[in-house]
Amino acid sequence: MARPHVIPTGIERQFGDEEIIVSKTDTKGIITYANRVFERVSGYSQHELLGQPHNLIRHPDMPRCVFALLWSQIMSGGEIFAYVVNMSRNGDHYWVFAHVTPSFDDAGKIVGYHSNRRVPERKAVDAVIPIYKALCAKEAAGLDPHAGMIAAAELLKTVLEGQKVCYDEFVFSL
Amino acid sequence: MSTLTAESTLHTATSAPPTDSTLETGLLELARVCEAAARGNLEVRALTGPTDGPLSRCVDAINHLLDITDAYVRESSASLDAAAKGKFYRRVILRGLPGSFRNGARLINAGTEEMKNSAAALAAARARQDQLANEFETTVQTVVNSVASAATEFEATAKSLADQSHETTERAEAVTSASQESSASVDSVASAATELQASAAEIDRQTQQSAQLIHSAATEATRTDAVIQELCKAQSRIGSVVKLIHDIASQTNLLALNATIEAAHAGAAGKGFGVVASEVKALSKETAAATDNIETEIRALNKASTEAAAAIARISKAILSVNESTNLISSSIAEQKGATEEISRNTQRAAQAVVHVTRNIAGVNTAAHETGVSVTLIQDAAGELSRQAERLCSSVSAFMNNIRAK
Repeated sequence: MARPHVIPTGIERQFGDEEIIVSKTDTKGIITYANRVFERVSGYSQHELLGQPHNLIRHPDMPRCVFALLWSQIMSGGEIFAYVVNMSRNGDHYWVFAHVTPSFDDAGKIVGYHSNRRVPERKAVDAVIPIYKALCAKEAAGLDPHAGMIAAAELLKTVLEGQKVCYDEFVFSL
Repeated sequence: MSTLTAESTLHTATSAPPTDSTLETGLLELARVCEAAARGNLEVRALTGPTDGPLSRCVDAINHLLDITDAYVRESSASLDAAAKGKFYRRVILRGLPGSFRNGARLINAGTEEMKNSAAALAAARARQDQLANEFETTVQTVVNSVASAATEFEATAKSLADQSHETTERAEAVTSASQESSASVDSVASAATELQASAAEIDRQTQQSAQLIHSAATEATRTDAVIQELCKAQSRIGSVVKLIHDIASQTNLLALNATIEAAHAGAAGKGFGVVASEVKALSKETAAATDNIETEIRALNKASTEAAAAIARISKAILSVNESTNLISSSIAEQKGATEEISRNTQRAAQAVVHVTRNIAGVNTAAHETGVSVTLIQDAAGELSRQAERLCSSVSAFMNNIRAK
């Protein structure tokens, strides 16, 4: 299925405080399961989501270095939390507090990834937005996408060192 | 883990209401998902086609149940795993977990909070323990160091004491040998003094004997002198007799001469008489010659007697002189005896003093030897003390390392 070219509308969507957006992917990030909340908030039907890469809902305001951190964390078997802004099918966006974990088989091998996304605290979103803006600016200023992302990752590291916390702690502190 | 296989079955019925056959297939698929989940496989999900109808609702409900259960298991596992690693900030996220799931999650979070507090208390206790351990170690180290340095000093003192005691022993031995030499010297002086006494006694005895001999010699000389005086008197008397004989011989000669003259007067008759007168005359001449000889002999005898008397006088004088010398010798001998006795007494005192010194030096020697033995014990004790201090030090270090939080 050809990916539709979506233009951000700037309109933020909300979902229920007690709702969880659930999705599962294979080890390559291809969606293998999406729950009803996912369908409703993203505006995509399950049929449209299955078999697609998870970055289908990627919003341009998200720094790539955050996803790089996310992937490096879960590929090594760990969990990760991240504040993520996603984009709906029509260009609206919605903030989530994403928890991504690997799924293991009985032998302990990673067979896929699982993501639960919840409504984030507003103050956490407000704290994250300027940081993400700075990271995106760093990435945009790079000579090439890779160099930009390295620079942004360095900036994120500097921000965390300034707070004297590790990434996980920082995320929970917001 | 490919459990998302309902897609093929359920997706076929997106547009049309399910037939009995698709309903049955769908139910069987749901049953398979539930059975897999009941075996602990929380990855399974039923993939939905229709968005309405009872089957769709069943699929959604089962998927939702699985999502919630999956979320609970992932959350609680992750939170407890993090807590086990000391990351107490990682709590179970309650949002989206309803009812019993939320209650369970709250209990887990309460447990994590408790673990956090315990860990903080434990860390504080450990910090306090570390601090106490450091303080204790510092104190013990200080004590051990002063014990060790005291032991070292102790050892050094004991060594110097040992050196001194050794020197004392050597000196005492030197004194002992010197006093033995003194004792030998005193002994030889004593024996010399004894010999001297004996010699003096012998000299005294001989001097007395000499005095007796001198006395008897003097007596003899006096007696001899008397004899010689008598002899002189006898010689005088002999001289008188010889003079008388000489006078008689002279008168006889005169008579013979007269007779001869008379005989010549008488001629022939007187011839015989003349012969006799000549004979008498010859005899008187012989007598006169004999008396002259006697006189000569007496004069010689007289001269010899005078010389003998002079010799006797000289002898007496010599005897007197010898007697004086003998007396001087006697008094010298007496003085020498006194001096020798004094020497003997002094020698005995010296001998007693030497014995005293020897006895005292033996005491000193014994004391020095005992000191040496004591010093060895002290050195052993000091060495042991030093070793104990080192052992204490390393034990304390090891103990401290064990006590300190790891």
